[in-house]
Amino acid sequence: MLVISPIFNAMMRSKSSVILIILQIALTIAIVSNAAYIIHERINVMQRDTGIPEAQIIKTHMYFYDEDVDIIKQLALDAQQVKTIPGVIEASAINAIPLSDSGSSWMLRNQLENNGAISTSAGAFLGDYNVVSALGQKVSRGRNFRPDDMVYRTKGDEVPQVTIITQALADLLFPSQEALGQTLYSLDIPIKIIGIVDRMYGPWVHFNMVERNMFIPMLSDRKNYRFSVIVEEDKVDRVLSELNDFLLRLEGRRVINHTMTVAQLKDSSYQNDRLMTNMLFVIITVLVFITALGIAGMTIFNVNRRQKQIGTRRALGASKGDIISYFMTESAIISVIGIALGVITAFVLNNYLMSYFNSAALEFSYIAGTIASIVVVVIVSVLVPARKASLISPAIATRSV
Amino acid sequence: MFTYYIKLAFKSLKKTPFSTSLMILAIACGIGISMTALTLNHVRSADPIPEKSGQLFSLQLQASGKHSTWQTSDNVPLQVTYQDATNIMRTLPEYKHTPMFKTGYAVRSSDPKFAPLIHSARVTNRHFFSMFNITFLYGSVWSEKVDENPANLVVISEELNQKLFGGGDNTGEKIYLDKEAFRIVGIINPWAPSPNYYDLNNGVFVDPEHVFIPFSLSAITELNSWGNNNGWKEEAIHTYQAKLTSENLWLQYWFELPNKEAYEHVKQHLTGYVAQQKKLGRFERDDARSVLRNVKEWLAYNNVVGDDSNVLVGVSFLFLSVCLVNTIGLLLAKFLRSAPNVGVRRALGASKEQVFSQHLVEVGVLGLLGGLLGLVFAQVGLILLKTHFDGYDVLATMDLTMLLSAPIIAVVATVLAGIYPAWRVCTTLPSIYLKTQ
Repeated sequence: MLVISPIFNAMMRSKSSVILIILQIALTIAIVSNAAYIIHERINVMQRDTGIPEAQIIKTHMYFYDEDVDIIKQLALDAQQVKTIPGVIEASAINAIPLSDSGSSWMLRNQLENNGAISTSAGAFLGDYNVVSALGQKVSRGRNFRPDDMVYRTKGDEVPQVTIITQALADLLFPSQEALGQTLYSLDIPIKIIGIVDRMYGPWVHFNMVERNMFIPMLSDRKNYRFSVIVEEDKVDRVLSELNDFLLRLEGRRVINHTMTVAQLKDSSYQNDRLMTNMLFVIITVLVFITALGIAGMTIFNVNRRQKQIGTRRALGASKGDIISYFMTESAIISVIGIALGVITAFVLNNYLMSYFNSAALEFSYIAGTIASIVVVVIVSVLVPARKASLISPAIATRSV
Repeated sequence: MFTYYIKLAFKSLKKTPFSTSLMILAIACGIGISMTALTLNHVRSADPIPEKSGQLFSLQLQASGKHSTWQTSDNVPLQVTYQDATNIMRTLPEYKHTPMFKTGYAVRSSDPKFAPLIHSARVTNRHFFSMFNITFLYGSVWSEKVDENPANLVVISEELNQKLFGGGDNTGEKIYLDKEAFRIVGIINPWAPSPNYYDLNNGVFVDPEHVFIPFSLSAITELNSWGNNNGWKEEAIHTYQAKLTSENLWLQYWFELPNKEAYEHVKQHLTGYVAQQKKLGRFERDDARSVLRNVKEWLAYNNVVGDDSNVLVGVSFLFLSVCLVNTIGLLLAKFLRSAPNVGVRRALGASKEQVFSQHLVEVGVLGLLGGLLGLVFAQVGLILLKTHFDGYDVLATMDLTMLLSAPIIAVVATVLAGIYPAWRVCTTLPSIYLKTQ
């Protein structure tokens, strides 16, 4: 306790450099804690369980340009033939692919009467009767589709009869009762829920409806189709390389492209999040490094400037440890002020981010973590020059200049 | 004098290699990162058609249901219905305006061996080309008549012309869009607005279409929309005809209004149209209205720059400020250490101003070196972006403005940071140091 007051007084004699270090520590804490928190949020978003075996599902896009092709027949034939490729578990034509940012959504109600109904939109996956398994899903309650559930829309007014929905959609539409066996309504069309799958993400990964999805056993003669194939893990690369040619051999009057795994697709859907985390990560790393060098540089300067005083203290009997603890105490005082200011700045910055960019409220643990690492950085970057200072010979006190 | 100061600056910087390289490195890191973020932001917020961005207006109509909500800041839907588009298209012949939407085809040449290409196509009327400053390499747009009496005519891009025919004037040639034959009337020069403002539904930095066909074809050939189709009303739409008369929102609509009078006139006309539709009972809302936004307003409204990009610029400039604070500290240390020298110089007759400007020149040199190294860092950052992220080719490229602004920002920022240390050193009293010497 005794040593603090002379240290403090000495500090007050070079106010500007002290203020600069305080400022640097405060800004570093504010930036690092906020950036780390944004990184954490984004990583959480990217790592959410999509409920889909992404690496095992190959998707492709097909476009029938010749009206003479019987599209519905061809889609069934495709699925049947693709299943003969070694490693293919299930295949189905489908209207949209999960995590792709493109698809169709249906407005649904839990009762026919509009008044008082719970309504929501949900991602709609239309395909062959085995579409559920072609996306790697299991019907956990109820039953899967059967061939006789299929509806073929050719005139435009055939309507679906049955559906399998995700648990999230079931919970929303039927909060207080068992959804299985219930009827939901799309416009005024009643569709019976015959099965529930636990969890599957839909097309739009950045919207809150991402977990609300439904499957419909229905195919129409539209020109644009996707195709989903689930493959045994070790055969994915082989199927990926031969799928296009295989499908074209079955029917050449179409264009087939954008063939890739859903894992690759997911990567591009989350591209902006990855960009954000990577850039912020670089900023944090470089920032901590710069701050460390800056603090070390300032301490080296202080040591050099006070060489004579240090020598004098040593000559008067101060031990090496005394010299080190002098500098450590000095930096501790500076750090405490810097940290206090940093905590305030961190919250101000977070407030700004929240009000203009809808980011979440910063958790204190992030500030605490940042403080802990800044303390380590300060200790390391002061310890090295302080040790050098302690090695200054007491004889220096006797020299002039 | 200036060159002498520069010489002095280099001499002084060489004397303290450690702190000099530390300062250059700090500035370079700060400039490198903030320039990377700023370049992304700068490209995103670029004006895609500066020569007339104030004259092109997108049309929005608040024509949705009483309780409909949209993800726009003013709750007005981004697109219009086919009904409204055609109603408005037929009026105001004195101005250029056009409805449009995206469709797509398998495109083939007459050569049966040619593997068909999937291409999206823009369905629009003839004004589209002059409105958006698209120029023709060969031929021209279809005639006015075709905008009323549809014909299988097509305008294609030079890029597609290359793919189909290997280049050359192929106007008059036939191509197949799906199974239908179309005659090429015009081939346009390369055109790729960035951001792709006229239709932001499917991404901001997407390639424009390479195929353009008359809007008048849409009703008779039942062209499907490849863009967004948003319904707010519960309607059973099973036929194309039903879609055309529905309240489904799926078309974009743009006006070119060269002056204030034109704007006021059209605005007034649209107000009348909204009132008329309200009377007919189609527009239900009390706040039914038309909204016209010029290109810059439209881009801002659609948040084309993106929150992430803004946050990154903010954070990287905060980062730059830490680097500068760091530099101030190091400069202060360095300058004060050279105070004895300054004392001698002052005693020998150097004025305060001379000492001050000499030190500022030194700081400026430091800033320039840091800025140049920072530019290298930024280029590395942008190259990394291009190689690790798809679709960043256009985005992650520095234009001349950015290349020049990096060293300028660096020098200005460093000189500002250096003012205080330079001032401190020039106010030292010569006598103090002379005494101890």
